[in-house]
Amino acid sequence: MKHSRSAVVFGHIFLLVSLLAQTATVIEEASALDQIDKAYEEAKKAAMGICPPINLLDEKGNIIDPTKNLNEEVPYSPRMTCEKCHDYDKITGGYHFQQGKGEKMTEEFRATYPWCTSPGQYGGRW
Amino acid sequence: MCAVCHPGGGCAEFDRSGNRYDQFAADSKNGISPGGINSLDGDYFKAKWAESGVLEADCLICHLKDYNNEGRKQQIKALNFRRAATVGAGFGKVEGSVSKGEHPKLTYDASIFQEDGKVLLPVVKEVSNENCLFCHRETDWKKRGSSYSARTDVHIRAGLRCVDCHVTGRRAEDSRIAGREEHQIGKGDDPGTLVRDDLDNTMRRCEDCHSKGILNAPIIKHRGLPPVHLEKIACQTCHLPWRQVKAALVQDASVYNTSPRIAPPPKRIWSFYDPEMKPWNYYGDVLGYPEGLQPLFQFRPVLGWYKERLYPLNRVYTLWVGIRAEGQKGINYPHMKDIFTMWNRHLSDPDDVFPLLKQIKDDNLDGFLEINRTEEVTAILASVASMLTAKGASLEGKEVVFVDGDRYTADGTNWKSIAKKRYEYSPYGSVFKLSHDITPARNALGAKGCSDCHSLESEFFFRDIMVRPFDGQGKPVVQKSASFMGYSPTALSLMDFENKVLRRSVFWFIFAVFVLLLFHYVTFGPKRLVPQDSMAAQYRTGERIIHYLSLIVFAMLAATGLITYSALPLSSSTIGQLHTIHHYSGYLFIVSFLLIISVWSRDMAFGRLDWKWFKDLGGYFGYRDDLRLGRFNAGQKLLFWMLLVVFIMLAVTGLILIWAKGTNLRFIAHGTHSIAALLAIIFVMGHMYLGALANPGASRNIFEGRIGALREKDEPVRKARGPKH
Repeated sequence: MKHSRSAVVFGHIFLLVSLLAQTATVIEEASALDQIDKAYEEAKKAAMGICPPINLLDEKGNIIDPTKNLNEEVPYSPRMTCEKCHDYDKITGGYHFQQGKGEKMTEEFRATYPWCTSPGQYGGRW
Repeated sequence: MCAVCHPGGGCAEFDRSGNRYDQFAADSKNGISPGGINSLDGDYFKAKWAESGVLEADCLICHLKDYNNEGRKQQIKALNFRRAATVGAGFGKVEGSVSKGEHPKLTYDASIFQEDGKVLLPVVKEVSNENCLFCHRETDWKKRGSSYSARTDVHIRAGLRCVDCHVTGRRAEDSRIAGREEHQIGKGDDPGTLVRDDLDNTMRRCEDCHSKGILNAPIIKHRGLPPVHLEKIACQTCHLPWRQVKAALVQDASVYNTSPRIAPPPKRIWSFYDPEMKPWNYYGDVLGYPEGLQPLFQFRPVLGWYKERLYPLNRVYTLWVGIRAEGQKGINYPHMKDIFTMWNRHLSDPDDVFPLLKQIKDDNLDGFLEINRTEEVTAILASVASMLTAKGASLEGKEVVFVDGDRYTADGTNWKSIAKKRYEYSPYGSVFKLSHDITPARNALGAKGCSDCHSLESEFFFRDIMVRPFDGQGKPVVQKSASFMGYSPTALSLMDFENKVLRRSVFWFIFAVFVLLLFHYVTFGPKRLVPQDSMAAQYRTGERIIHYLSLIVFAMLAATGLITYSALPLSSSTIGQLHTIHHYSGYLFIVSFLLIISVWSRDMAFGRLDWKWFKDLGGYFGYRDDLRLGRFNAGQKLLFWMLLVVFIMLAVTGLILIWAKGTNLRFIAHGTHSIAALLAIIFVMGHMYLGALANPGASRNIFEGRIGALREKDEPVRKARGPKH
């Protein structure tokens, strides 16, 4: 039986669309599973309440373990060690860490304290 | 110096361009020389970042129980930044220091590691007080006179932790700081600290716990306290009547301090004075009390207005030598180490090195030098100018000035003012709001009664506070606290009279009037001048309605006024509700009294008949003849005009008390309102007695509109009374 050209084209288009739709469904389901996994990981961390046993890491991310003579003279890096589970940049965005760094001074402040570059404790009046 | 309190991260980890210091310095293409001038870039000037490493944010400085903060500080002072966190956490020991050009050697404590090489740390989510006080104890002793101990603070005594009030993260409710791992710690609003002012007042407030009973906090009633106090006065003002340890009142950065145990040496150019203007070797003292429990020193904090509320403050007065440039608003400051070096060299050879400094003497013989005379000022100015010139600094277009609080001089004679805020000594001296070391409620201001403050003998208003530390003889210049708070002597005198005399005697006055009226009735009895056998209307319906309204509203005003004026232990909120009723009744009374004036003022002019009435005292003291009357007798007319004056006083002062913000005006208005109210009550008591008892039928007249018939000879009176007679 001879098929018309348009029927063939239509059939190919139909196949392509259904393939795309199935792919989108799979991606969506994978993303949803990913969200669920992430949420579950967050829940497990919250359930722990405190830090579990952890490896100390140096500034390059290498494990420090004097019991196996691994990097035994290298100081530990709070950033590399804690960042495994915690958002270091979000935490250090707090004003206790920034202390006015990068904060804009008001014009009045700038004029009154010409030696200052920030409203922070350093450089301001006593 | 700064890093010992800084927890790492931020400016301790990255330079102003966002580069990590040690990596930037280690990269040869950046041309950073360890310990070199490095183009005077403040981030790299004489720094050894590549060797020292940076101070990463040290989570464990807050979250680790028994963190070794002293060990961390030692490593920082040795420039062993990279190793400081390891020592602070107790993971190991370090020998050698970058500051001495050595390569430090780290040895871990192997016992803290498990078999799998991991460590299990006693980390806590919510920080203990001791960790907070690593940094806040020392500085807040000097700045605020805070001790943060159970012996000085009821909250700490009750077991509260810093983080119970200074919430953050998921415990915070304020959206500005709430969220998982948010580390914007809830804070108050301090005039002296200007970092992240957009996060001011994100911490728990007093009323958050003390109105809901959180953590079993006592629910506040503030019995007997009118709510205006809570609007105008901060909680801290009454609940911090005393400070228990010293705070610095004066920081003199113009002279050299030879006291022992001051380290590092450049700190010798800071001489501190305590709240009694006695020299205070703060840096020597602080070494002796690293765990707190500082020596007790009681003083009253200064009270000042900040953002329209009265707070206890520690204002720091500063004396220093500055550099003013033409056309520049602010005053710049020479390098601290240059002032120190100038003095240090002078003291090693006083006759030849900066010899003018010999003229600076200890005039008040308190043990510290002070610059308070013209020749001393010119001596320091000339010496600093000479020092700067010798260093190669150009003073073209600039002048060296001596700054004494809110004024400065370039010659010791002509002084110019520095613009400042109301609550500060000068913009170059910090102001710290006091919020900690709260005393028990029974020791709060007002616990013993209103006279704690509202009295000419109270320290609240009349203690001396320092204006300037040194006059020509080196003695402090003082003013009364009331003057600083902006209160006038007139307002305070009236306040004192009201509190000591009026408030204690108002009910006795009313009782005395009651007794006098009773005595009159018993002695003289009621008048019988008008026959009672037939009745005729005197008052129209509208007049009687207005009188009814005035009666009801006056009764509400008198009742609510007397209740709130009394010493009844009502809660502050109940007093507030009574005040609200009083205010709205006041508005109604203004309306009703305007109506009374409109209907009766024409009939209240004094006439011929009235003089005889006065001559015979209205017939109330045994008079037996007939007294010819107008529509109103002379007594009623006199009462009308007296009440008019008193009610105008009440209305005007009442509106001031409701709407005005000025504190002096309110004090004067309150005293005047109270006196006028007492007079009004007394007049109305007399009016009620005369109407109800002394003149039989008179009350029926106003309430029912009918009086007894008149005789023929009273025709003029009949005409005067109007229709229906």
